[in-house]
Amino acid sequence: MTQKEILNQIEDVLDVSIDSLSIEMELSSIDEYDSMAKLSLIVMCDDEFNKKLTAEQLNDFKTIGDIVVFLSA
Amino acid sequence: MFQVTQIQSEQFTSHVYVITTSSRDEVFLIDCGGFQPVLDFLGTEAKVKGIFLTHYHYDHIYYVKQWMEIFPNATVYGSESTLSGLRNPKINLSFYHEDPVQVELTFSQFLFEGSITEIFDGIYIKSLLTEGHCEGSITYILENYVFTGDALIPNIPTVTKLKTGSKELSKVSIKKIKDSLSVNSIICPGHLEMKLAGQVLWDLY
Repeated sequence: MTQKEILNQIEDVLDVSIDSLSIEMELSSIDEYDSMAKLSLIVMCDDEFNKKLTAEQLNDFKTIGDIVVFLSA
Repeated sequence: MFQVTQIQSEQFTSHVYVITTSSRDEVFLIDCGGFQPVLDFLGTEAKVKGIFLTHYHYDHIYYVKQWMEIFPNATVYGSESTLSGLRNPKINLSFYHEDPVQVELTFSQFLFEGSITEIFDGIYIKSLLTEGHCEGSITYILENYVFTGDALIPNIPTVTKLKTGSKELSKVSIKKIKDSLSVNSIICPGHLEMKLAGQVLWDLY
């Protein structure tokens, strides 16, 4: 999956406009990044990428890029 | 007569609603994402006769096993999707929490759109299917109390981005809830405080 495709999946989960996110963006600057969004991301990692992401790991992520790198590894 | 009391979970931001008669000997719960604070409220004499589940997300069903252990004859009510979700931690999302919930119920009853259940003599709960937050969500109407779960948390956009969520269904459900209300209706959501129907900013939806 390309970086753009991963970004689009994250945009879908966060319920933000398509192509509105970039890898440099701070997670704390995204209004939609709330506890439900975090849970949705954890579920997405498991369902779509077969990767186990814990809440602790996610809380350590600072940017959208951190999520993309985790999903690309 | 009956009374409704909102009690917050010890672990989540979700609420359990306790429906009691004045004698408090027979009790029904709406959702069971909380346990000890509810037990503390009930005391030793009360007997839980049934639990009505609004939907299957773990913060609303987390303690169902504990409730079944101390009240084994209690009936668990909910939609077919909700009750089957109790058996699947990935569906009820508890898989992603520290202690997955996977429960086989002893006594359960499926509820549908328009189901009417008598809880006390002459006192009935009506079910409205209000999907959108997740499949199988039910709003319960008990006279002027309307227990919406997460289908409607007044003045907060409904979360539809979790699995089986749907913005379109949520709009339909919120209209259905709105149409069911009277001026005296009290909305009892799964999170945050209870509100009168007139306090809801409907344009938000």
